[in-house]
Amino acid sequence: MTASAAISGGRLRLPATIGVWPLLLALAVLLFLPAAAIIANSFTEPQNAGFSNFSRILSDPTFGRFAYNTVRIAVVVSFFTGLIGYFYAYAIYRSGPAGRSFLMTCALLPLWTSLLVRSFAWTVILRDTGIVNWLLMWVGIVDEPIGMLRTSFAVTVGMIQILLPFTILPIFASMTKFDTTLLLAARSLGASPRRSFWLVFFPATQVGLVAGLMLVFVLSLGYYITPVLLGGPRDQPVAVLIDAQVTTQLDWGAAGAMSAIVTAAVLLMLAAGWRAINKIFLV
Amino acid sequence: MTAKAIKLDNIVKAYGTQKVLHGVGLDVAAGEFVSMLGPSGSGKTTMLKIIAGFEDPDSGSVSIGGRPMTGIVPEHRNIGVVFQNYSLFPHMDVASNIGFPLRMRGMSKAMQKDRISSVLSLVALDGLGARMPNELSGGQQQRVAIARAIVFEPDILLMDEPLGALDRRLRTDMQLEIKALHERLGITIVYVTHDQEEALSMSDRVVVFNKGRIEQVGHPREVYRHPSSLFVADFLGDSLALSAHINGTDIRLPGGLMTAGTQSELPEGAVKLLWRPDQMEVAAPIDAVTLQERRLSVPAKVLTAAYAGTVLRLRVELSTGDIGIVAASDRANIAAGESISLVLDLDEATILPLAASDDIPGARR
Repeated sequence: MTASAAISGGRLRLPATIGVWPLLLALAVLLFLPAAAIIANSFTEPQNAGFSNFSRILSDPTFGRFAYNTVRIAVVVSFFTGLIGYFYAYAIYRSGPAGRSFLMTCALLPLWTSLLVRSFAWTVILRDTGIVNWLLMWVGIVDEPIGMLRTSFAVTVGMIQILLPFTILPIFASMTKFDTTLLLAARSLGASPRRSFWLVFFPATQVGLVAGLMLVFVLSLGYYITPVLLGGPRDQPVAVLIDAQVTTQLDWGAAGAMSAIVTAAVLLMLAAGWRAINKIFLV
Repeated sequence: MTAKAIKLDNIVKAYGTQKVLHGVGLDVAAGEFVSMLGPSGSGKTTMLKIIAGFEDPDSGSVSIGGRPMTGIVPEHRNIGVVFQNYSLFPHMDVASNIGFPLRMRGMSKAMQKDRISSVLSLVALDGLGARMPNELSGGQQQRVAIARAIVFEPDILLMDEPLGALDRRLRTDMQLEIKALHERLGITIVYVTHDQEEALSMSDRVVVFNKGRIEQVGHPREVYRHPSSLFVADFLGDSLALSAHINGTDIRLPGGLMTAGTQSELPEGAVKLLWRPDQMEVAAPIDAVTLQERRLSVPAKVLTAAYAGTVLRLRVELSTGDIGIVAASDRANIAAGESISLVLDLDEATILPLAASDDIPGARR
């Protein structure tokens, strides 16, 4: 037996009885405990704060503005990732084997690149001397650069590109489960190809779209780097406000309360979309 | 309900380099129930898809009610199709599934409702309109699929192994129901199946497919009792085929025996004499082949004996080396390994030429 076989064959194998406990332990230590500690701050900073942090936050117009920014961006980004993702997934679904792997690679490539790098790349593309402005001026559509950086447009475009795989994948998964004889049935019953698509194919694959939208919306709520790098002052999300509370105001109580509100919103969204997510990812 | 005739003229179809239909021609009369029977890959399902318009033939033409279908898309053919896996729309309830073709034809809601409830009672599913497909049993789903395929009064009804996914008991019930439905509606039905019992029990005519060609067309009794080839004989059920040789009108039998053929138009050369299981008698063991008043007695050995209800199904090997299936009375009490003899009436035999291809699968290409 060779040395590598000995290593891969025996030593690293864990007993089956351990099951998923190591994973749950890691999640507890790395995610649940820190999150709980931060949220606990909202009740304990300052001492015996009770719900005072929450009432303070909820009546503060600054929080309201940042919360509105967060939700607005999440809604717009979800809408466009859903729209583009559905038709991109359909293009993958309808392609031959070679086209499929090409389109799939293109869709997944962003996931293998760091979020920071991708967001920064967009600043390079969208800045006044960037390729977009250069192209617009070269073609003659504009005479001088349009300020695209630090705008809602830049944040939206950047986040759409970054989050697109999260709609493409579940939608494509729902399409591969589609029984194509249903389309033949629809045609034989008198439906044109267009009506077969909208009355049969789309409803049957809608569940993937819902699952993808949920994921994108939830992920958008917690975005930090992309809005900071690409957005203007009116596009800053709650995450930025939380950061400011902790790093400049040293107000852990307010930060904890905001975190608790965002976490609750995320959990509510997940609960609402649980059926769809469950259908796509767990069955 | 209107019934229309179907005319298939010299249909050729290939997928890539693989030819699946080699010039198939067939006339189906208006109101006729025709089964397309054959093993998988014989071209029967492709033929159905071409009639439905899901596939276009490479050459040849389909016409329905005298109207050529070339260039007509499926949604304009007015053909009902029932699929093997039911193909009900999972997100629509039973009523919406059945109403779908009516909706596509722009029928008013009120008229749709009337039609849906009358077709639901036709398939004995009254009151189940609000159910979702996944709340129904397999048999009920198949009834909904049939209801959906006939509710818009199609010119013809195509059924692609519609009972394939049902259990045996339910299948026999549904066979009778489909046959009753056919008699009641008078609609032209083309029914694809690989189950010979199904084809024989339901159809006005059976079309036997083999390797992209029609091997034989005829009334069920005709194709069963008078198969035109060993393939048809074999595919339609159990039989015993005895090797013989024909010279003019002389039939040379095993054991050096000779007899005259009484059938008109005897083939020349190597042949098989074929009997169905019920056409043979099981008798006491004998030593050699004998011929008496055109009844041939052949020594045989029982290879396996299986109890099949009213009969014992015996797989036997004759002293000539031929192997076949014989039905004996279940009171005969014959076991595997026993020696018996078979009495074969030469006038009841079907004489089939032994084409070179018949013994070597895939040789005819």
